[in-house]
Amino acid sequence: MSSTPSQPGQPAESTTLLSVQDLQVEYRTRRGAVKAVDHVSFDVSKNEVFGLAGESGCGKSTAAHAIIRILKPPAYITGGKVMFMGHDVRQMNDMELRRFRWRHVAIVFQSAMNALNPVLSVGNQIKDVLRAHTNMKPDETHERALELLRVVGIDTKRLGSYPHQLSGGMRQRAVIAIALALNPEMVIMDEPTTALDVVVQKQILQEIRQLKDEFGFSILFITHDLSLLVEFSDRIGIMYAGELVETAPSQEIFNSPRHPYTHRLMNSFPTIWGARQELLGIPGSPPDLITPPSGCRFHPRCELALADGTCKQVRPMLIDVSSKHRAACHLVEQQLAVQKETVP
Amino acid sequence: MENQVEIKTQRPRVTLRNLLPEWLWGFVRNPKAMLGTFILLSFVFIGLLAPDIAPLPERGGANRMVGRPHQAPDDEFWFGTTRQGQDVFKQVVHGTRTSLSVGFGAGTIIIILCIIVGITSGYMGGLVDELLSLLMNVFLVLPGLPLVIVISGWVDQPGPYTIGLVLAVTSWAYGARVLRSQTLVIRNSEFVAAARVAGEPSWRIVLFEILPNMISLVVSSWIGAVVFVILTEATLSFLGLGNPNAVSWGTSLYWAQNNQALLTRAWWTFVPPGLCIALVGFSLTLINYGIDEISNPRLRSGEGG
Amino acid sequence: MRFLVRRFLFYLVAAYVAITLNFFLPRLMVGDPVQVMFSKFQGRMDPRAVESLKETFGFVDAPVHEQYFTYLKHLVKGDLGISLTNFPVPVSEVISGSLEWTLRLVGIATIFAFSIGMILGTIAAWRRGKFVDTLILPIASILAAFPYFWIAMLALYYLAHIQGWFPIGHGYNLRLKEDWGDRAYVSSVIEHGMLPMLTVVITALGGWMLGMRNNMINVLAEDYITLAQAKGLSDRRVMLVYAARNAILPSLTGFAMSLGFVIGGALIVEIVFAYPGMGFTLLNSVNGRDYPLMQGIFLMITLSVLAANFFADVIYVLLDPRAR
Repeated sequence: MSSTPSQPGQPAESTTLLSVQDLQVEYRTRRGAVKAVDHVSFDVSKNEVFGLAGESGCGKSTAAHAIIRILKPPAYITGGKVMFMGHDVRQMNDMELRRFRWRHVAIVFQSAMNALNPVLSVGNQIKDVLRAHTNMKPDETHERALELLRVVGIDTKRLGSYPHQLSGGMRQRAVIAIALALNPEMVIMDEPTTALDVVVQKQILQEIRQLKDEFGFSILFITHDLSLLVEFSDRIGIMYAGELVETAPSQEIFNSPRHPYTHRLMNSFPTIWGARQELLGIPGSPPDLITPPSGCRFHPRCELALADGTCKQVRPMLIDVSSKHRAACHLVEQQLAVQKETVP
Repeated sequence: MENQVEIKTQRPRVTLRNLLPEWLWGFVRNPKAMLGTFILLSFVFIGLLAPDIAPLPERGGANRMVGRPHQAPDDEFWFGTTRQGQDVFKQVVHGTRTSLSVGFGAGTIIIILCIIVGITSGYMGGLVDELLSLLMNVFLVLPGLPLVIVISGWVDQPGPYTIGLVLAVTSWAYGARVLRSQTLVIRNSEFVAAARVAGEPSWRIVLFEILPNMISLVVSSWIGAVVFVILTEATLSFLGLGNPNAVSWGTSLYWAQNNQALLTRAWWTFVPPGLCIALVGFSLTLINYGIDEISNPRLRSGEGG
Repeated sequence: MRFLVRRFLFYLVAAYVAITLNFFLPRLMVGDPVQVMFSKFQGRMDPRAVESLKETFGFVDAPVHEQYFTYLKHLVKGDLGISLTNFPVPVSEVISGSLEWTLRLVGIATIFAFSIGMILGTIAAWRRGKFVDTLILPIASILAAFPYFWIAMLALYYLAHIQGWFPIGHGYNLRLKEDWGDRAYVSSVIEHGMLPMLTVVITALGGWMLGMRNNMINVLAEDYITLAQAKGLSDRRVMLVYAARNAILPSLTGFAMSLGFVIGGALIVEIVFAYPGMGFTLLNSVNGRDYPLMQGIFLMITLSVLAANFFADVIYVLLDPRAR
């Protein structure tokens, strides 16, 4: 791979695969409802890699799980729409949902050790998917399972191995093989490489990229590691305290982040291309989502918060900065207004 | 300045919640734990006030013949009489003392043994741990009740307290193993490592770092041991392996069985003592479920879904 | 395999401890064990036979360690001495007569209680807050806190004495001869076994059910369950192959202790029902001061428990690839 930060290849096709609109998810706890995902909207196009980033607890994983409706109580979807290829996922009944999952959208979890059933062989866990969704005969599922192992770079002799007999990297590959079993249109990757060491991490990301180009699926990539995301994805959404605060092509996020939080986030990680600036970190901690801050949720930690109290009182909306770049910040709003005035 | 931070000077309200430490507040709010505590305390009071609730004649005590044989419950004898004409109510009330004191006494010995063996094994590690673990596992796998029956066969009609002692000596393995694994977890934690580096002596680490961090486990093991002793002591007395003249719930049941109470349908001789054992066992088990739920909220029934 | 070999060696050690306990217990008691143990045999056997019986338990005129080896030697030969209450039948014969009753009762009851407990525990965790979880579970756990013998007494009193649905006590109709070819005898054995079995199952069920439920709840929070659901597998397959199969493992590991309780419970139930098994025989031996029989029974029960535990280990290995 070259040293430039991002290589979005061809511009993504404009056909929208997944469209999330005003998604709301609540955790119902004894202390009250936690608005873990609050009016989040984004689209993912065919063949695109869309990254969701933010601190842990910002709701990015919850949002992803809500898309294929695998939230567990006390988490509930309380509003919004999830459209996938024109079908409303929230309206699906159990049968439709079962068919929709994995055939169209598969998911790869953070920790492969916990994502694999310890008492079933890897082969059986792949075949399980095939048996549940297709009418393949045993020798066909066997062939397909071997093929999938080859695709993700696991020795086919490992088909009968159990998870504990595999290394961390191999387990993650096995989980990816399971995800690709039915050639889904989209794979959700929830921190797929966080538990791995850096070398294996880079290897696997590279392989995911190749697989994506080969099979042509979209990826919704979730991570707290923004630098990794900038390298890996075409577009990025930044979440803070349950809200989407900025979306833009990776290059733009990297070169000209507009939201103060994104700015901070960019500076709080070492990039793979060497320290661009000194690492700043973000003062304060993410807010309590049972009683989130009024106005802009980032305002208590934001050093640029407007002195007139707008940030504290008024909730900013996502507005277009450019055709592909949107941000939710009063400051950005003011700047744009000034630009408009000066350039009539 | 407009944006001045408001400092709310709320007067702290004095509520039960503020007065209790958090774990105790959780306990008070747990319905299972509270129901269990209520039942248990009732029995403790009955045991303490036994001489006032059911005064005993000077000679013969609770086993003295005071009425006709197998009288059904009435105003005079609330729980009826036995085949020997003894007052079942008096026997049950005074049996409470025996059962509770044997249970809590032997249960306490058991938990002390558990703490000593479990923590030593878990903290020392190495050969000591290997040997003690082997001992624990062997005692765990040997069938407890037959062993105790055999021992009481040799002792020949032991009283309730001797039975309690035998139970204490033979039944520490399970709790010890539970405490050992918890000790292992805590021993490998950072604050213990820090204490070690700071040069604290082992006994201080054990007493002030490890023990306080497994207090809920110790308490629930202790309660488990008490239930076990109460049930098993009653069982052995019921089998007639204890002293048949003792006043205890198990002994009452032994006499009921021996006097063909089932055949003569004298239900009042075996229902009240049995119910008392069951209620005490039940109350302690409830308290333990409560403690479990407080320390592991996932286990609560009827939530989610 | 290594796991099983290690377990097997451990059970050998446990058996050895039980055997040694049997040797030392009489010697730890106050008074003269020889006197206590054999006084009742005096006059019923000729003195030479009494001497050889003493030798069986190592009571020879020699230092303790030699006594010990004498005892072990007899044990290896399968010589458990002579029963007093069944004089002059050898202990081994008395035991083999009662062992089958207990093995049948405990064996079948354990299989039932364990499997029903696992199934109900699975359902209770899978359908939290529904019928099984909110109604059956509390009842079962309340029953588990009750004394076994009392439940047996109540069952015998109400179901047999008052309602007359079951025969009152004993292993079979005593007017019949013990003959497995006789259909009347077989059906009488079944009829007499029902209530004791039911009692053991009911009292043992709660513990296993509750344990399984709590394990299931912990397993259900695992990522591989979520993944299995996301994979679009049927609920049945997720519940059984992904959740229950993992949740059952701790129950098998804790089998030793649970089995100990079931055996204890079954012995008591036998006594209440006058069922001709090991428990009933053990109590009779204690009451009759039949020490050779008492020791022999303890040894047999222990060996059976160890064997059952080894069996549980084998199943564990079959279910958990990590133990292979």
